[in-house]
Amino acid sequence: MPGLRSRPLDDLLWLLPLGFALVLLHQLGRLLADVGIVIVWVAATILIGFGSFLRQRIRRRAWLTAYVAPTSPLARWLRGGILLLAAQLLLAAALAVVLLAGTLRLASPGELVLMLAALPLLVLLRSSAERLFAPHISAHYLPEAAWRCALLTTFVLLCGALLASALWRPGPDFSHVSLEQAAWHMAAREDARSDLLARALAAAGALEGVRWWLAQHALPRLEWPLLLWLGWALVLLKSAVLVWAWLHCCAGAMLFRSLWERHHVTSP
Amino acid sequence: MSRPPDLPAVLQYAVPLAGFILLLFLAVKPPLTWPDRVGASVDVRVGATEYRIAREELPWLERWLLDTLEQGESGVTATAVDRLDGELAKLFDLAHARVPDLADWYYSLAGEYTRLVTPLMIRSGVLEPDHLAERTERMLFGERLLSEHLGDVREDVDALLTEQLRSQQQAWVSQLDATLERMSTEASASSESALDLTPLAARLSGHDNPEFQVRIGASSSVGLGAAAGPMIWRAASRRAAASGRVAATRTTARAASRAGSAAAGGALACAPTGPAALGCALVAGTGAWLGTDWLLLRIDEHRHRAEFEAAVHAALVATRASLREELTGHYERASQTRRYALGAEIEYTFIPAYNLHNQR
Repeated sequence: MPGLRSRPLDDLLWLLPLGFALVLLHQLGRLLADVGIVIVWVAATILIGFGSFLRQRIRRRAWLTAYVAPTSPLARWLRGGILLLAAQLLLAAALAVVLLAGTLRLASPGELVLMLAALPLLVLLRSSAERLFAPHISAHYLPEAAWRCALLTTFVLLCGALLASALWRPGPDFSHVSLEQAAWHMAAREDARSDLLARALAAAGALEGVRWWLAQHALPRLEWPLLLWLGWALVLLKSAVLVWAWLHCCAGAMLFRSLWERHHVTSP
Repeated sequence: MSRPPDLPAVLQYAVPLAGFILLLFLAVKPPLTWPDRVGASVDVRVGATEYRIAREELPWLERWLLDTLEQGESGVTATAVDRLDGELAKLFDLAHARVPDLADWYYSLAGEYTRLVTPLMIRSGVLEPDHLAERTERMLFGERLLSEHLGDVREDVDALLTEQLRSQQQAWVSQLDATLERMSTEASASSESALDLTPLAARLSGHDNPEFQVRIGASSSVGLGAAAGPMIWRAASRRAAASGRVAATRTTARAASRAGSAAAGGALACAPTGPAALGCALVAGTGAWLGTDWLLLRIDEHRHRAEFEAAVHAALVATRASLREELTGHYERASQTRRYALGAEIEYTFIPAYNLHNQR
């Protein structure tokens, strides 16, 4: 449409506040009271949940266009409503907890920088995918196809970078301690002003302690190198779910931007 | 509602770029942690008692805990080693006192012929290959193998260790209570977020820690002392056989006595004819054989008994030193493992990539 700015830059500008929110959460999150934590959690849940809901509706629309007659009542019943929204928000609530705890437990500033680097990468990949797929994919499904390609590619690249970083970073040596001590050691290192947040961080810490202990005691018994690499990848990719939550948060923010732009463009 | 005006092209790129650079700058700053914002006091709980101490005392308390733990471990290990030395001294002093008995048997006819017949019986499977070594061990250590004695020693030292650790834990808790009482600034109401040192105090004893009990237990030193008997026997018999001309002389004399002594003995003691002449010649000949051997043994004993006994004493000293080193190392390793398990800090030195490299 004439007069519109190019979308990738718009998307990036729209994502910058989200990036600042992530950095501020990482810097000051442990000082927030319970109320602040709940507000952040709700905001993340809405971003992730609505983004997933809107993408689900795009997929549903494409499916309905292909398989259901437009005059059929099924087209209205299956297009996605309150139930779909509730299901997506429920899943988003869990992902938001992971995002919150994971952001506060990032092991180094380098990991936070990698998370931020995903912003321009996601924008670029989505824009490129839309241009590449436009001649080949139906207009109804094109946005979702571009989202899937961009999200998956960014997820793989970001997880690979985080795995490479974790592989060479010194971790706790649990060779001579029990499983219980390993879990308590990691859990006890977490603290926060908010009790809710402290408990969530302690639980995440204990899980990480268990993963490290299992890796250091069980993995050396594996004889096949491939299994050994796979085992370590599973242990070190604790942030895979965090990355997934973060990317969905970004996707949600970008989809909100699309809604906002559509409202301003179509309004008189 | 009208759309906002488009920004100039330069600003369209500059604004996101500047924003992103600022973002990266903020990202590398270290985050604020909650302890940076807490108050000046910390609640510490030991058992049912709570103390409130100044926050700046925490580093000192941590160092004190580590130093006390280290001193306690060193003290307990030293006590165990002292007891071990005492038990080994008692055991080996008895063995040294029995060396003359071993020499008596070695230079007796029974000992001589036992040594001659044993290889044949071992080859035929009647006796075990280490029969002579085991016999030597039983003669020196009172009809029991050294490994059986060492089992008793280990049980005794393990019991002492357990008792010492229990006493240490009780003393440590008392000392901690006294120290915290001295550092306490004001009465503390029960606090859910108090620093609880009770689990650490309970684990210090090691009594409730089955992992530690296994490490100091007998199962980790199976086979200890099994090589002592063969080592002593080899040292003794090697010394005794070092003077090769003595053995050769005995063999030569034995061969000569078959031909000469038996005939001479028979001629001297028995009638030349008659039905009893053969039996009489045999008895007289055997007597001459045994007499010759006995005489040669006496000569051998007179010349080499001192060297034989010295070799056995030296082997006993070497065995005792070797056992002491092995057992002391065993208890020190157990103590070191316990220090790792109870240490206040776990070192961040485990790098997965190096672990993967070592597995290949």
